[in-house]
Amino acid sequence: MNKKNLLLVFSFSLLVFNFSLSEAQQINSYTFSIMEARWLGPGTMSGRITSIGGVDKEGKTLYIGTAGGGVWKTTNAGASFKPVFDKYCMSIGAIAIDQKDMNTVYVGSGESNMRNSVSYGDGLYKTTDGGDNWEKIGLDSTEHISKILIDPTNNKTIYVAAPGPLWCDSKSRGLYKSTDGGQTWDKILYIDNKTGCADIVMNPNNPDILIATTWQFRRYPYAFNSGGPGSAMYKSTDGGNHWRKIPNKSFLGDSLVMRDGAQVYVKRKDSTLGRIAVTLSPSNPDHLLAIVEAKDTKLFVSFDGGETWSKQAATQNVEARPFYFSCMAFDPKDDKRVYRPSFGLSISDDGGRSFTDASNEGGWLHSDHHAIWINPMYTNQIWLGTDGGVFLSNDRGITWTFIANLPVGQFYHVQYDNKEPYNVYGGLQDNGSWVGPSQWYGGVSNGDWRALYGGDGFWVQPDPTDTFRSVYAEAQGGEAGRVDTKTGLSINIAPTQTDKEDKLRWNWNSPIYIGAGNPHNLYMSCQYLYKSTNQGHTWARISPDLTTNDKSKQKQEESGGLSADNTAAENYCTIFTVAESPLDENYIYAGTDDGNIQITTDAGKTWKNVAENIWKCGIPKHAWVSSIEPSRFDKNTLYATFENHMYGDFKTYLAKSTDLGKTWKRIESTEFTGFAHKIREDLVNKDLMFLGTEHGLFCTIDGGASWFRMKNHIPDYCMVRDIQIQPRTNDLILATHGRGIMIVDNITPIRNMTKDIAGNDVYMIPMKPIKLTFGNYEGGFPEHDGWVADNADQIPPIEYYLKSRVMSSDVTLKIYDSKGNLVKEIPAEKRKGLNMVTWDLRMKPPKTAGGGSKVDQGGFIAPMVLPGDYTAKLFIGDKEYDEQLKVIADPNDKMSDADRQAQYDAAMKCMQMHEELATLVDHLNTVIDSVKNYVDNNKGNKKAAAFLDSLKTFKGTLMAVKQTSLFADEERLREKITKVYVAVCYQDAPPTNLQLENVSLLKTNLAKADDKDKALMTDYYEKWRKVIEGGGYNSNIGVPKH
Amino acid sequence: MKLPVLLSLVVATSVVSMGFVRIAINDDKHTADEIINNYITVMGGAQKLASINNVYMEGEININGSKRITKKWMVNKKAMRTETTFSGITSFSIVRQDSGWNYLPTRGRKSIEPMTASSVASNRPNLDIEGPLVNYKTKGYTVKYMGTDEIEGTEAYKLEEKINDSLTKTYYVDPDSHYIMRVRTKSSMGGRVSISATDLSNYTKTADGYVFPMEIGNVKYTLVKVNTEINDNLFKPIK
Repeated sequence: MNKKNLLLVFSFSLLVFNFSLSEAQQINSYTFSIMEARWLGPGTMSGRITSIGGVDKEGKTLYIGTAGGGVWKTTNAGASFKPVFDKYCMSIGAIAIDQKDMNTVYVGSGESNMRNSVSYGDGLYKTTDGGDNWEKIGLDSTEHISKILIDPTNNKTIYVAAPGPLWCDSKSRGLYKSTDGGQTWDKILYIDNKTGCADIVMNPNNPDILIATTWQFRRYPYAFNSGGPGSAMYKSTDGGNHWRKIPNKSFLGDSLVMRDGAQVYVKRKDSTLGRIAVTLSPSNPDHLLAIVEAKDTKLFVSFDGGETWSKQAATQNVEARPFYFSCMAFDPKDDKRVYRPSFGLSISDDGGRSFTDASNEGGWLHSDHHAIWINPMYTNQIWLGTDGGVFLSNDRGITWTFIANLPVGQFYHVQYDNKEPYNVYGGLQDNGSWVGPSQWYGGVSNGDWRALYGGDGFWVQPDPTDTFRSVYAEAQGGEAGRVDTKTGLSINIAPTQTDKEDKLRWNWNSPIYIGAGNPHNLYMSCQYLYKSTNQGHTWARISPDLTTNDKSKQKQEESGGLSADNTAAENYCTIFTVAESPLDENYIYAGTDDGNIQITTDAGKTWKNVAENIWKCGIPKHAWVSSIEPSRFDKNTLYATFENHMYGDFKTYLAKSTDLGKTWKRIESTEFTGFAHKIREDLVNKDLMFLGTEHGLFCTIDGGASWFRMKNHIPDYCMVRDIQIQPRTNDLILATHGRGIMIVDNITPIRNMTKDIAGNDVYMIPMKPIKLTFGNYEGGFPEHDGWVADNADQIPPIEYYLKSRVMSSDVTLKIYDSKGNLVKEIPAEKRKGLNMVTWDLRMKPPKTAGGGSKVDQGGFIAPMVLPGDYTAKLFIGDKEYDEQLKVIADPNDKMSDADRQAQYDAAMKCMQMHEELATLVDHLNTVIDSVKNYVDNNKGNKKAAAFLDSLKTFKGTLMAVKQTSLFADEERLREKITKVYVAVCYQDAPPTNLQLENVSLLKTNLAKADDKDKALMTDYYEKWRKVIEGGGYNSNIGVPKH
Repeated sequence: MKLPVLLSLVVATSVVSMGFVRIAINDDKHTADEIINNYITVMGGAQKLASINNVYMEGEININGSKRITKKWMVNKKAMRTETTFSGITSFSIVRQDSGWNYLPTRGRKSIEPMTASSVASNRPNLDIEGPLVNYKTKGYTVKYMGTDEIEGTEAYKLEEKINDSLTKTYYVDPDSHYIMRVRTKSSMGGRVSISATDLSNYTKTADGYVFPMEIGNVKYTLVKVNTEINDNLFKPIK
């Protein structure tokens, strides 16, 4: 091809590409926004709370910051909460309310409880309208913010303590100050790129006096270090312009050591400090307390504004885990009363000299505390943030009530079974493994969830080979059991070391996996892969060590820095993800936390590490393999996600191989944000995939060429850790790490959407036959059980696509039967993208007799249609779009065709009676109006008055006309018709013999009423009308004179 | 093919291609006044809006296939009456500048009940037929452009209008048609914050050139008359 032709081809390609780009952009985040995710919760086991801010002067407006669920606001002291931060980063580090203007709130993103699974933030946000709108105001690269202080005398002055990035050194660490309400920032205390600012307190009587603590810390995939020369306490008396270090030796406590067989205290020489939590008494600002992490972490007190400090004896709870429990508070009005939320809650009544523990009498108080807010107007009232949610005390922290309506659980994984309704299973950070129904009677409430296993929860796998009676669940570090869901008992099944293996290295979040190709295959993995074919009774090791086995990264017992902290969270050189091909059980894949992808095609006899091939496509070496998805459409195709955030790299890594790992191609998109957790291929459409990252859920319908962020009632930056698709219902099930389980019901519309469809102005989506149903999971009274999730719609909706929102035409949907009769008119959606309108499979309700004392329920009730062919007609302005509908009987329904016909016939008879009665009463009403007007103007005519009375009396036999109160029933002919009508229409059964007799009786009574009416009307037309007209009455009957 | 012609083709193709790309780009540089002015234009223009002294509208509410008839009378900046009739029973609400009443027999309330002062205050801006957004400065309100927000699949312009300390309205404006899609009202009454949202659509031009949304919330209007005779008794608490 010569140069000229090449140019031509290029130009044409560019044109075609941009046509495609436009069409692809037609399908975007909003195309499917009508398919809103249901938030299943649970609320009964919530998630980690990182900060609580309350409005001091009224105490009932609070903002709750969470580890992964954003910010929730209550304006009624916890009766209800709403998420107010769902367009932004979900990891919340600190919240501060401007107490002079309660609508101004600052949120620092990125929690500072620096455990291994902590997420990261992207800066500081501000709202000036109570959370309706937010603006990011800087500090984007701080990643973690631990405290925000607002000068109470000048609300434009703000301090932000930023420990800074966890996984790398950074100049963003430090203490920041703004004097213009957050428009600009200065870093006023900076030590070095390894040291951030962990805490700050301000003297409320003299806001220029500040105490700040700096903290040197760093995390690695395999270790954590807290402490170093950068850690210290500093004091400023001029608003942070100058700082003076409080000498470390101030915090040299005694160490308890063994000497000659006895325990003795010796002065500690090592003055290295770690994280320092400091708090100041609002009622006596010279009185401070500090928990100072050191070789011997201790509690220290100062009575001179932080100049000098002395050690206090304290309980283990007070001194526990200082890098993670950095919270302490004085009672706002009493400097003798101190609260130390930590592993548990300790309370002091002598200013920190001695502590007691909170009581569990009011209910179990979850362990691991990170936030506290004491209502300054009523200091009995305390809000506490724990790893399991929010608790409220009204007796100064002695007893607690759990707040059960915050669905901010942090799931790692999710699985489902195939029951009806199906259940979802998942493991929660800090909070065990749970199972809950995808729908339930009256909605899915807290009480419908059930705990299965303890510890930190991760993978949960219901076993399909024994009808899901057995469930495999785990706790951290490879503790795993097979739970008998009938008895609740569990048996430990975790493989253990023999003389043929090194010490088993379990990832904190070790895979338990049931084979996609053969569900009898159960896998567990440490650095080795184990397989069982008998539910874990026996295991076979089917691999060698599949990791890099880097010994330098296996020194977890030394992890922690100043405070030893080895809870399996830092375990490394382990297998993190396992997959089996749905097409061939001999194809097994293992991804490790240190960058290997190992593949076997002979069920583990031989393994091939394809890591080097992956690096060639731009995936960093040793990037953690977070998921592997073997394609169900081609045995040689697989997808994998990688994440490198533990080296300070938050990019989204996703790659595909079509030759069993020999070569890889990166899949990229400018839409992606956050490091990747899970790639999931659709079960039916190979071009449809979902990607879950730390900052969002993404979807592609074109095999990865383009992606969009899914925002269907899913927070924009939701932490999506796992994704499943239920094969029977086609539901998309998400395990989120901070918003519980979410379900997008029936993704078929996404599955079937194409660019061709999206190119239409209007497109009616073909429908499968709709089964008649009376509904499922109906409830009675509303639940009072904290968080209650809605059920899915029980009737498949009519779906259509609109390229643009219709703003200047009427949009209506009408249903016609096969004879062309209008069955029902339904208000239609008119949104851009996919629209869904539900037809309740019923006809239009009858007109019921009017003009009584109450609206009759019968006017809202309609019979269910019979099976048959119907047409849905969408009218947009004067244009019409049709789609055929087939309504069928549910083969599982106990009603026969004859039963259904009998029900229909009886309902139609009632409907007809209503219509006839309505016509009769309409006319009667006009006559009554006419006669009444005459009588009102001719009070002397007693006979006319008597005739009027007879009309009214007659009307009073037909419908309720008196009803003196809501509690006074008045049942007349209309109400009697409605009573049997409602029963017949809404029972999933044919009419009973007595119902049919009742219908006949009512027909007879209606006939009698008709006769009576005829007699009265004869009287009216032959006599009274002439009298009335002769009297000059305005013959425009029924229109009142003004 | 000669090179200059080919080059022209390449350039033309690129320009056209880039044009398609440009359409897709979301340009977010707008001002509140620009958006409001576009809205006023599509609503018939400022003069047309200002010429409306009163409005009468009739429509229906479809609830599960049952229809309720609704009627509304509005006298600009003075009074409004809304009636709903179903099954022969008529409910109504009346709002005037300084008072209001509700009559809700379908809820078992047999008497005409006065509205609270705070309820009247939150309804008062609704007496302004052209809407609080038009001529907002002279009315003493402030409006801010807040960027865009997704409303039912559309990336709508978002305008926030502060009526007073306890009443804020947020308007979501369709970027293609410039019509208001949704109005969100946030009001504080007696320490309680209430938020409601109303969708508007089916903007239709009448025979005499006025433009109205014929669908407001769940009401579909079928008739609208401008500047007719309206009896003041309609705005009195009379059954």
